Amino acid sequence: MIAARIEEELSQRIRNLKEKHLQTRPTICMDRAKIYTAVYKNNEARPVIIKRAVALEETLKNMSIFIEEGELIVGNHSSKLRAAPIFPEYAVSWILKELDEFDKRPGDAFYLTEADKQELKEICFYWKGKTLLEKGYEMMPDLMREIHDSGIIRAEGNLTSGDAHIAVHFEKILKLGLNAYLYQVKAQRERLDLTDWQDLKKEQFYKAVEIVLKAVEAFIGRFENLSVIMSEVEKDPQRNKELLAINHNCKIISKDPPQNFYQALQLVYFVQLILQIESNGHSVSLGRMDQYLYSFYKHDIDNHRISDDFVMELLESTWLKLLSINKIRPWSHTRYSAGSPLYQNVTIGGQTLEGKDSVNDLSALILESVGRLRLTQPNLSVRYHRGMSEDFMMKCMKVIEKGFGMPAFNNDEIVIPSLVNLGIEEEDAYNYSAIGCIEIAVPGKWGYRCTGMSFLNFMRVFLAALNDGYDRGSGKTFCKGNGRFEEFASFEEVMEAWKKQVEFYTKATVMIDTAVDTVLEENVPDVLCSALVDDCILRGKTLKEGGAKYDFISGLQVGIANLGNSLAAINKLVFEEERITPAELMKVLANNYKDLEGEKIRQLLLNHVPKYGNDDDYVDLLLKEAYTVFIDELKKYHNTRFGRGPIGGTYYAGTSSISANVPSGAVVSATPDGRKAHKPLAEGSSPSSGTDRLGPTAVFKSVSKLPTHRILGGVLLNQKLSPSSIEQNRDKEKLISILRTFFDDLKGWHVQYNIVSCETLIEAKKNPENYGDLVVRVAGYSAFFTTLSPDTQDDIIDRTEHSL
Amino acid sequence: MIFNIQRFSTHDGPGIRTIIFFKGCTLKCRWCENPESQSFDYELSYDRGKCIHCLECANISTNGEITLDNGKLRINRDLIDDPLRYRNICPTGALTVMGEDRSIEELIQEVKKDLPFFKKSYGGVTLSGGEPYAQPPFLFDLLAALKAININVSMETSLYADWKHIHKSINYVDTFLADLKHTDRAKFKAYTAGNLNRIIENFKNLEKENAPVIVRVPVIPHFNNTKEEMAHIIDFASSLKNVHEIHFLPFHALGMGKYGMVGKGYDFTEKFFRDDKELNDYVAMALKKGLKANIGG
Repeated sequence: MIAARIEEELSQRIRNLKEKHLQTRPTICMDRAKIYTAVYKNNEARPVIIKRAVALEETLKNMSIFIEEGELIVGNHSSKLRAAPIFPEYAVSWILKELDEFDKRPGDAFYLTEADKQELKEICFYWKGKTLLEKGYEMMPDLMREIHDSGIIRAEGNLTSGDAHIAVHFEKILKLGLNAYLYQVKAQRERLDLTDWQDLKKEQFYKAVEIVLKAVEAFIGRFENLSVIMSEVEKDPQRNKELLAINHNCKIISKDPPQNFYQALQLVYFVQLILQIESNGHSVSLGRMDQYLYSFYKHDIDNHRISDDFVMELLESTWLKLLSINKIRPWSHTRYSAGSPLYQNVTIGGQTLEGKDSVNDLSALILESVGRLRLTQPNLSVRYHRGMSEDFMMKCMKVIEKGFGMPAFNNDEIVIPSLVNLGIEEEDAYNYSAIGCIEIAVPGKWGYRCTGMSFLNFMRVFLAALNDGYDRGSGKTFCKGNGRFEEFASFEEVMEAWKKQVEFYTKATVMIDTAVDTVLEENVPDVLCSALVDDCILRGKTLKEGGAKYDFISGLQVGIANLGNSLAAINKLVFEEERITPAELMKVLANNYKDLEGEKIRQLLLNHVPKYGNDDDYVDLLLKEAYTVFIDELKKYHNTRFGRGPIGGTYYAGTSSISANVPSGAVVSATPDGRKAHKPLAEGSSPSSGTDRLGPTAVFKSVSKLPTHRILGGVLLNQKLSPSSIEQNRDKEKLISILRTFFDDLKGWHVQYNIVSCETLIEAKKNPENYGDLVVRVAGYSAFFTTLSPDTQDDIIDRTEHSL
Repeated sequence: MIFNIQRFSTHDGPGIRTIIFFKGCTLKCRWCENPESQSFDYELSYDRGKCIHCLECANISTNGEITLDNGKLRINRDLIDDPLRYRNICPTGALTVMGEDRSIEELIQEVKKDLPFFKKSYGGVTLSGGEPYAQPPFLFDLLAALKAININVSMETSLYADWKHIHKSINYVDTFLADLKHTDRAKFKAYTAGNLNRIIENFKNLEKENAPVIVRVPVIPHFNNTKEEMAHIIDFASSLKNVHEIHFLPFHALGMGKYGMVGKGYDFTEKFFRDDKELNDYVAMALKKGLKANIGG
């Protein structure tokens, strides 16, 4: 019912467009693949960066374009709505393997014609042996290749989809306009000394930037033309006017700075769109939209040139356009990212350099419009700080209540001091934004992948530590250990063994990253993206060559909670209480807790050991100790941009593994926390599913014991609540209060709320073991759902349906 | 003795609270949702659904306390003289011992964990039960310890207690959350093991002391859920000068499953439907009498 009411709030135009987007069957668009392939074939002799500039240029000039009925913001990603372009230069092996199954996928199916299939196959055959993925494997040192194949470390995402995880300098683009960049490039180019090899490289970069900037201008110009042609045959006077407005907008922004809010938003969208035609990466983010668009908004409002209703409609149009950008991924990856998410983050809120609240009227409109549309895009983050008003927090709660997990919160109180501590200039630190999910960077000044290089599977590493370094999954010993667990006399030896293994694999992660970064730099430089990030143009370097002002990255670790719980289980039940012998534990781990004997031990591990997420120092501090080993080791290394220009060039930890916990769990045998083989690992830094039994305050306390200030890749925390638990304002107020405590006092990094749906409750009733942490509002008080009698559960399920 | 500590309670007193549940209550209301709160002794609770029949418990049982009978675990409660022997024995937690003797220091440690949340939300600790006043020495030690660290204290009580204990506690309690289940002595007697006079007296005594009291009314089908009965309850509450707020707590059959687990029978089998309209009517009636009212805590 809420859904119906919200739909009513939307204008007919937006409702129609939303319906159309959601109803359209996803397909594949061949335009980009065809054009890129042709350009690569015809330009083999040219430097890679020129080849890529020309390929983007040809695509922007020749791909099909269209303007949908009723659209106010224009620009299409591919030839048809919801059609995913193909990026063959990154990887094709999976396409060839899965091509005939695209339309048979149980979720996220893609439908394409036989003719398209044939053409796609031919394109793929050309690319076989030439793709980034294959080059990446070849670049890895032999042992690293083996480790990567074993699945202990995965870096495929970077190779099949490129970098991204970045926000370009929208503030500057809007201020200067696109042509200003061309002048800047021209001026830089004139200063080069072409007797110098480094300047020769820069010359190629500048040439590429010129090609691409002109191509962007031409692309926007195509919409300028299309809108005027359409207006000539448009009979509806209202639509005719709209098309002419689009025409005028494109005419201005293809060269010059936007003159009003509408134009500014259109330019932001064009840039955002083209970045995702250039590169296959996801988490291309929009930065602090409520800040850089505010002066346009304010000017228009003050001069009565725009109404808030129209601003809402424009914002909603933009969110729909963001949704229209589609991506096809290998099935293995799709299963865990259902709905083709692109993680295009919009950040609002935060504070000014003077520490004042940055929330403005536009922040509220962005929040409300995202809440009204309830789509997966954009991914909305709110920068929390101590001075954020109760009123705005309440507005956030009202959107959270709608149950689609937005907005998420990042906390200025920890992020800004940590950034300053890292060497980020204060002015930039205060201007950070979320990228993708929870990771952070200074928009327009930070290189790719502030987090999101390789995934390190902590539990594979931990199991190897118990097995003298032997990795059961691959049958190999990559790093000889300190002996088998049965031979360890004390818990300290377990920690020592962990230390040895995790240090080895941390270093391996960096070696793999280095190989991956090298092939990315050499083969798929992004020209436009580099041009729009400081100080690439000034330095004459792409991002990967060290063009960004800042360049810190992180890999991701999966299985953090499982690590803590496993350590606690071993310490308590094996060494302190001697309730389980080392031999027994190793036996049941090997046979996946087989038979009654195995199940009995598993139950002991599950129920008689403190679990991370319950504010119990016993386990929380063990986890901190074990995780710190990893952080200390990682700190020793640097990335491929170190010493080449950027501030930083080093690593920090990050936990925003999002859905990787599922596939990562699928390749891990049974673990000492009572988790069975192949089951998901815990996500991010959240507690293991169903093990946090004391409610959200205890979870906050546990999470805050991690060395958050050293995990700048983000400390991800998901909390589940039932819709009824925040139904009333007084409950929302209490939620705000615990959030403020978590952020102000405990210095938490991030939290997002999962307001649990009725379906989840039904699932929770069927499989209570996975939902021990699910808090529901029964009536006058809250209770853990799984502790309620079946009848009451049904009652709540029924009520939930009513309230939704 | 306590039987539970619950953090992040949001509806039993102001702000975010930690509730300490005392074990033992002499009132034994027929609809009681926490059967494990009634006895002052340790009790075994057995949840058949969680049992994997590993027989860890039966193995340490002497003289047939716990046996396997036709593939099912049988607990012969009469034979159990020391339930504590079974503490932490059961791997799955199907068999647990209800009741914990926690020291004041331990409880304070536990309470302190959420101190930052109390501060921001003006929350604190709620003592509940069972009946906190049924364990006076322990209660007063705890109250003194809580006040020593400036914790806001709510006292959830049936007021079926000795006035001298209640009186002694007044300076330690910031808010009383006092149950007013009925105003009719006969009906009260039929559904509980207590005497309403004593409760009414205590309400009046608290009024004399001008202690801050919020009246809480469990809305129980077939017991007090008529407009007439509720009107009497509201009248009495509003007649007390120290009462400005009343909470109507809807009934749930939540405890039903737990009766079997602790080996008790449940004879309050009245069918019920949650009727929000009915509850809203009560709220409206209370508002008319000048009381602040809401559903739930």
